[in-house]
Amino acid sequence: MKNIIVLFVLPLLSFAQTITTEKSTKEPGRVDFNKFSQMYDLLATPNMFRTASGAPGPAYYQQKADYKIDIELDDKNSRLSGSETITYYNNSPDTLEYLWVQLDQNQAAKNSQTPLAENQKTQEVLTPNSFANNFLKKGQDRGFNIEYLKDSKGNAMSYSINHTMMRINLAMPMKPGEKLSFSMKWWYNINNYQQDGGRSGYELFKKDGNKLYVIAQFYPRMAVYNDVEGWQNMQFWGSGEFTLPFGDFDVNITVPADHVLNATGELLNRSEVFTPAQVKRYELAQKTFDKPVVIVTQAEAESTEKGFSNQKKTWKFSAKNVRDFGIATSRKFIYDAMAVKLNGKIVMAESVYPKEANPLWGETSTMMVAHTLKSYSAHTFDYPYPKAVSVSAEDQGMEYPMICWNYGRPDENGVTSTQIKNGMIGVIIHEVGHNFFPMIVNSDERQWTWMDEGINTFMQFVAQEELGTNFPSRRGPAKSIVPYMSSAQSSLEPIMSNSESIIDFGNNAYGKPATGLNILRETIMGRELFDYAFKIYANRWKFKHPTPEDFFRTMEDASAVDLDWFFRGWFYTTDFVDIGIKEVKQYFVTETPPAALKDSKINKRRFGTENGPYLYLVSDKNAELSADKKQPFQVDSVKSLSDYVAQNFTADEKATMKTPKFFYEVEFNKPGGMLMPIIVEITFEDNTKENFKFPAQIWRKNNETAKRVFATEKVIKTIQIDPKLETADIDVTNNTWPKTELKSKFD
Amino acid sequence: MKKQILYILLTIILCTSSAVTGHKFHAALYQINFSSEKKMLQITSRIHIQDINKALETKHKKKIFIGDDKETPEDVKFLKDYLTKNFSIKVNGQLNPINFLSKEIEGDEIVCYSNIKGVSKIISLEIYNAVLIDYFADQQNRVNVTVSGEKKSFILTSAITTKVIKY
Repeated sequence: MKNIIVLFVLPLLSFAQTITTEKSTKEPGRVDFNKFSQMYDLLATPNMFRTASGAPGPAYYQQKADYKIDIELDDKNSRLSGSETITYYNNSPDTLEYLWVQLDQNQAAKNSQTPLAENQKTQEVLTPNSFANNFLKKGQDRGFNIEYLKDSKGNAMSYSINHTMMRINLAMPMKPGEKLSFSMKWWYNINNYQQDGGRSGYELFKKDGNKLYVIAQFYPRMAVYNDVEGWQNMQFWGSGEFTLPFGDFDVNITVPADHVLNATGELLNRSEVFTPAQVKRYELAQKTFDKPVVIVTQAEAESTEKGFSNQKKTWKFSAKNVRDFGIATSRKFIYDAMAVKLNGKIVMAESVYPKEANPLWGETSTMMVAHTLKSYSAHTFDYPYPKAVSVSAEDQGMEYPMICWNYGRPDENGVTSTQIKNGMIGVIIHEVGHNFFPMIVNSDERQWTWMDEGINTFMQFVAQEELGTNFPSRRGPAKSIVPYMSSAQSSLEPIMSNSESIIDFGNNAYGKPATGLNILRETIMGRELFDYAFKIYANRWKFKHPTPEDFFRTMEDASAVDLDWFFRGWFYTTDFVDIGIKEVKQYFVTETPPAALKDSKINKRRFGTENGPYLYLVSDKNAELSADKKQPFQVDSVKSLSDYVAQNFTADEKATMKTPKFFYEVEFNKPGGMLMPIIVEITFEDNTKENFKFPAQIWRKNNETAKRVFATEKVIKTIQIDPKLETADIDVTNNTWPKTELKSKFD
Repeated sequence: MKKQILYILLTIILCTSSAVTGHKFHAALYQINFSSEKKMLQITSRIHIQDINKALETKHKKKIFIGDDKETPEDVKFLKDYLTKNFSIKVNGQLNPINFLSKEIEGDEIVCYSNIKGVSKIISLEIYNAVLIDYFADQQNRVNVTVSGEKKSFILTSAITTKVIKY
């Protein structure tokens, strides 16, 4: 035992000595900056709330907020007023001295900070209209007007409003396990979203004077309180969307009697708001699985939109375990629905749209809702809500639980271009898909746009592929992100940037994360490992509040694929992919040593040296190698080798012996910072091909270059890296050997 | 004339709207490469088809079908004219004509290839890009320029439509 130790230590000592004697300057040490470095420096320490596996921990908790809301729409004056009772459950282990309520409408209030935080530049040429808008018009006021805040006994409660956030100052702190009820009354002016912007509001149809309302963020909403952020305490500036706790909603909505309305949740009084014939049609839709059944017909809608009822009707909805509530209402609505079967459970796919949306919407919308529910359910969990509604709202694309607004209508002759139809299909899949991310897998949108938009765009891509129609997906394929990733570094930002700081929303919060997940699924992990881990993530965090770390950890933990290098590079940096072929050398086998190798001996580790004879692999670049020596290799023509085979190989080994004839050493380099597997396609002289895939780990000890030797039976004609463009390599001019001039669109 | 002004006003009103709308972004990407070998500036423009059709429809008050089966030669002419008017490059202070070479569809984008010939050396580039900026107030035109391996990127918006870069 002692002897062995000595043997190991001695070489180490002599090595140390050489270093100190040869170097005159002393190099500083360094930390581990290998790109495979594990993410301990980036991820929070796991704890009882969130485990290292990426699952909720044993102490995971989440708050609950139940709402009873009564609202009334004043269609004439575009005004909404309401009152609500919130019951808030403190399930946290913490005592709360105050509660935060979100007043997102205040982003459009007179004193909103959002316009003040915008950079401005003097426009030197402008129309009277824009001059008037900019300099003459008094700003509009569409913030919340809070009429009262009362406790359950009817006593006024103390509160303070900091723009989009309202703090309720509790007289008595709320202890763990306690619940508290309080009531509010408010009103606000609804915006024309096409003029004033916004994720909700109304669209005005100038021809008939009717409005189509898509109403959301319409009530004071509880903020999330959790183990990661404490209270969600970031203002709503406009880009970073919403972060809301789950709860049960009972909502009564009073609108003009001639409106057709749809909203989050189950309609409780169908027979009071629809005609008996329409109720019958709905019942038929509940049993119809192949195509939508029209419940409110175009003829009915066209006749209704000619009037303006002064009567009122109240629609009653109940929604369980939702984080938000959305409403669409108009006297212009046509309404259709169909049933969708998910593992024996039946949910309804529904659409409401004005006649201007037909025939496109009647033919397409509800069918797409049904497709989305099936596709997403298969990759995550069975859609748990009773219905999903797609609303035609021009210039919109916005999601709420069970209901979403989508753009895309035909022209005035009813004709829809391919582009508009594809845009409409894409937006419906996307917004209905948001039911899964973030309405159910409820990430913090205000912090991380990519967690809902990026993951959902990836799922949208998968659902579009599963349409089986060769749908032209823009975001998802690796090659589509190349133009963006080719930008100068100064203009890029990591995916892990706060929602409000993202310059290039579409590329960085949607495109890049979606592409990253697609690369993981198709190229790095493979569908089986990816799909299993992704499904685990969705199921672990449905109806909960996951963080980016919970996603990263789960994807690794459930697949046994180390992805730290991938998440570090793709999500935390702006590194791009560029892998190239640096050099290819061909080698020939000989028993005659070239000059440089004449005296070389092969070490037998600590047992002295191997006795000859040796075989030599000589590069085609070596001048000593004469042309006649550049022959295809054969075992029989190398005596020492054929002797070795004859003596040592069994009959079976001889029969199955490989027969390489040519030897190539390929050196790969990596001008890009981002690691990727090296995908190699070799084309031989006879145009047959062979494919190789070297895992990203080939870079683990040397992040810059990698070498492989290929022993082939045929002469290699070309070597191509990433032939199917699946790694988002931004420069393909170095992907081929011999270097070939790529066909240019510019010649 | 009056009508036209009204139309412009309307589009401006419309513009301000899309700025804050949920999930729709108006973004395009322009890649400009200098090939010293071919003495050529190579320009690749990636523009959302729906957006460009909308803009051309507003401008010409008729349906435009770029990228659709129904695309007409007139549609393509409108597209070229619009790009010529709204996208230009001064090379070393000199305004050079941009030759439109070809176009193709990729997903929901139209990719246009064009070039400027006879450029042997680049001292400065002045890039003007107002494509779609009149129609969508939130339009972001990302411009990536590569000259002799050096990359520069910037985003042109309604606030800034021109950028000068010096070498």
